[in-house]
Amino acid sequence: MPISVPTLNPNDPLPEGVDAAGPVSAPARSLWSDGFRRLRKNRAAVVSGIFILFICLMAAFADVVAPYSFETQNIDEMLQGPSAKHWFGTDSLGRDLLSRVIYGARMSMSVGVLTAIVSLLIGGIYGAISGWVGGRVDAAMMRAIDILQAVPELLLLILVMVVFNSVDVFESPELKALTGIFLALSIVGWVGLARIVRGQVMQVKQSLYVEAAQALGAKGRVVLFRHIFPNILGPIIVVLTFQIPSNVLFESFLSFIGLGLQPPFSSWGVLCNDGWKAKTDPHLIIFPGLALYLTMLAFNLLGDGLRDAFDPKMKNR
Amino acid sequence: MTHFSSIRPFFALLCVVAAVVSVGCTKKGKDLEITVPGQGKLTLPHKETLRVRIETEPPSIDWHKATDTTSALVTENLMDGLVGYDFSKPEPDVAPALAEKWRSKDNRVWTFTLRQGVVWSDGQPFGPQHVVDGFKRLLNPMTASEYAYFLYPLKNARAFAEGKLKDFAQVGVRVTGPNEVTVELDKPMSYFPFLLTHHSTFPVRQDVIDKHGDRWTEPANIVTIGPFRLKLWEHDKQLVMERNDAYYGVKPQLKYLVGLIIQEASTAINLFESGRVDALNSLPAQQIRELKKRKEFKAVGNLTIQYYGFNIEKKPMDNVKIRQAIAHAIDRQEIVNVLAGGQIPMTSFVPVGMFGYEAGRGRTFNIEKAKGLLKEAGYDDPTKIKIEFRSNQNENHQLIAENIQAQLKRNLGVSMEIKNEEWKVFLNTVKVDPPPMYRFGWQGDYPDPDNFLNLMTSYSENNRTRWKNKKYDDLIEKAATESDRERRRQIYAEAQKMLVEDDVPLVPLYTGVSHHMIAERVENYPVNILARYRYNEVRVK
Repeated sequence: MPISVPTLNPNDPLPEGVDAAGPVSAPARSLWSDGFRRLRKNRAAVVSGIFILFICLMAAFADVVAPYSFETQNIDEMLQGPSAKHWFGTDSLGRDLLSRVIYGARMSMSVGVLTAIVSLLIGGIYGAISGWVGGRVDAAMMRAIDILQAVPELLLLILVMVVFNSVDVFESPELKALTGIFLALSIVGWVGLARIVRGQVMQVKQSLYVEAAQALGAKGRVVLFRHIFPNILGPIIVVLTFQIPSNVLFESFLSFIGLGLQPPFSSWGVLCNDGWKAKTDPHLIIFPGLALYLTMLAFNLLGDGLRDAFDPKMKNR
Repeated sequence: MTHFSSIRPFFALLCVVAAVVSVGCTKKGKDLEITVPGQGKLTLPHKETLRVRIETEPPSIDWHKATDTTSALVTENLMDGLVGYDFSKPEPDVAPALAEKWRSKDNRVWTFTLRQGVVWSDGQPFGPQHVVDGFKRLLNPMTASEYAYFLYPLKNARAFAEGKLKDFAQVGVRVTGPNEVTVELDKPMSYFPFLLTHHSTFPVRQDVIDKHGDRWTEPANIVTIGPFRLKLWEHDKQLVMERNDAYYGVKPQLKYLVGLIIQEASTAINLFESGRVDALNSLPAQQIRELKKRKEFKAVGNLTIQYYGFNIEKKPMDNVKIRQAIAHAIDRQEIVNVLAGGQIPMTSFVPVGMFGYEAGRGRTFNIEKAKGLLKEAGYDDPTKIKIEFRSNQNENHQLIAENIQAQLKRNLGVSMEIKNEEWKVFLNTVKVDPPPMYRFGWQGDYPDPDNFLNLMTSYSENNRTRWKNKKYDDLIEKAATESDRERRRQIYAEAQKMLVEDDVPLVPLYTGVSHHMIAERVENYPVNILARYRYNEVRVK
């Protein structure tokens, strides 16, 4: 038949994938499923994602996975190279390095992920208010951020850590060290996110569909949550995947300068710090370094993949 | 974007490390160049310069105030005392230095005859008044020297040091001739000349100090008498000393002595390997097992002890049973195994290899006893005990601390929180407000048990434990004046029992060994039991 669009009898049942609004040529795909479809095609991103999932699982079930405890010292077996008994070898106090790397993943990853989530909450709300309200409020809020950013990050971090270390809130030293690092990094980390969210909100605010929604009488909250947030989530997720590895690195840096985790707890940063001094026993730096490096790489590749997948301009490639 | 900037410090650090290593490779065997303020550039000829690693910025090279080994290394090359050491004998003995000879009939009144024709680095002749000025400055309460007690055997010295006596003329030291100083002690003391080998009793130029105040130790101001002179002090970087051509004793073979301040032991080893440093006076435990095989390696037993001190006024260390329990809960052999450098485990306070050492003294490793003592102390659940511990930043101390942390947890269930501080900060912490538990060590100033046991007297500035015991003080004073060797040994045994078995204000860990790496081009490097580094007889090729 010469007619390309089938005419429908309003009483007939609707064919699958077609809604009452009118005829379409393909099943409806949300921004999300579209993004994930494109992401799946990116092999590097998929492998990275699986690797990150694997590390996260190891971190979560460290007690089950690790062959030994992270603090049990066996002086008779100190500074051994990799063997069947100790896959990654042992350190200068005879502790199993593999177990310390696994428990270290728990510390490093929880610092990375938790900090990113808190940064997102604070930064997201702050940025959204600033971008949505605009005008003087926006100017004031952005100047506040400028002031915070003018303080060198490292200085701010050290200051927060020193202040936090001097107060005694927690019973468990493990929790105390973690909370300190995590607090310090969150204070520093939300600023960047706030700027990005603000920029995105301002951009999307002016788009036609938002105008249309407002013209139809949608209230501010509805517009913000129904129309703006879903549309800016893509870039935010991408930023997060870059933020997590930088948090992990910063934790290792803090531990490196002695402000982070205290012994006997291990994180990848602590292990690298201990390891690089031992020139005669390279396994002490190779394994934790490799763990840190591969995770960083995976996060970066996944981030790249996500950016490509959710960037509207990349849609037709 | 901000999240990238946070990666930067880490990379910056890596770059710095890489830069240091690469510079180290290119500079091998080259002459060092330094810039002396006011005198311009100066080239230090490689074949006449010894470069030694010093571990930290010396807290003070004012020899009346210095208390640590880093500062001592510098002051002992800049200054001389009345008496020096002769290390050629198996047991180090005293030898004439600024004093040509000395005599005493009763070991109580000592007369020192000074060497003639000795001049200070500014050309002024050395005289007996400088000796008296030195003693006065050490004892002066305003100086607040931690070594003031060294001269407490002098008549009225303690009263003067404590501010009860204002007139220094009544203290037992005076000029008795153009080249003579006479010292009068309260009681006979056979080893008195040993005290005068220590930098705290060195003579001083009071006029220089009056003129420059606290800044008198800066290179432009300091006036010294020893084999070297201070040429340049770049704080936190290096000290350069130059040969004193007017030195009266064995003239240095070296033209320059450079002390490079390198905190990180691994960095120091890298610099040594690349030929930028000639000698290291301590090595990290982790690397000893490898370095041991090298021909540059030299080890010598020394009179140092390592101990964990308590602040007996702070919880939970105010309870003597807990202190005793901890002494029982630490396996010293395990610590020594971790260090793997030939150290000797020890439960007494007098180090191995010294008169007065008793092998069986002290509380030995015994978990059952430790647990029993904790029960007696009223702790049914030892996991509730938390100990705050502090140490200075050092790889070996860190290793020991982590091992003891694990031992206490394993043996008792007690947890210990480790904190590290930079050396200067740490010294101040233990002086002003000692934490419940802290690491400390002591290096013998002279080979006599008095040097160790008097540290814990109630009036010693080096006693950070807040433990004060009159009976102990009396025993130490009695032993110092006792001339019968066997009776002296018994008194020290009694004092040690109070210290390490009864009251336990500290837990001894081990007697140390000095490990050195000395470049092949260096000859005659001074390795000795007292770890005194005087470089006037060193030669370099």
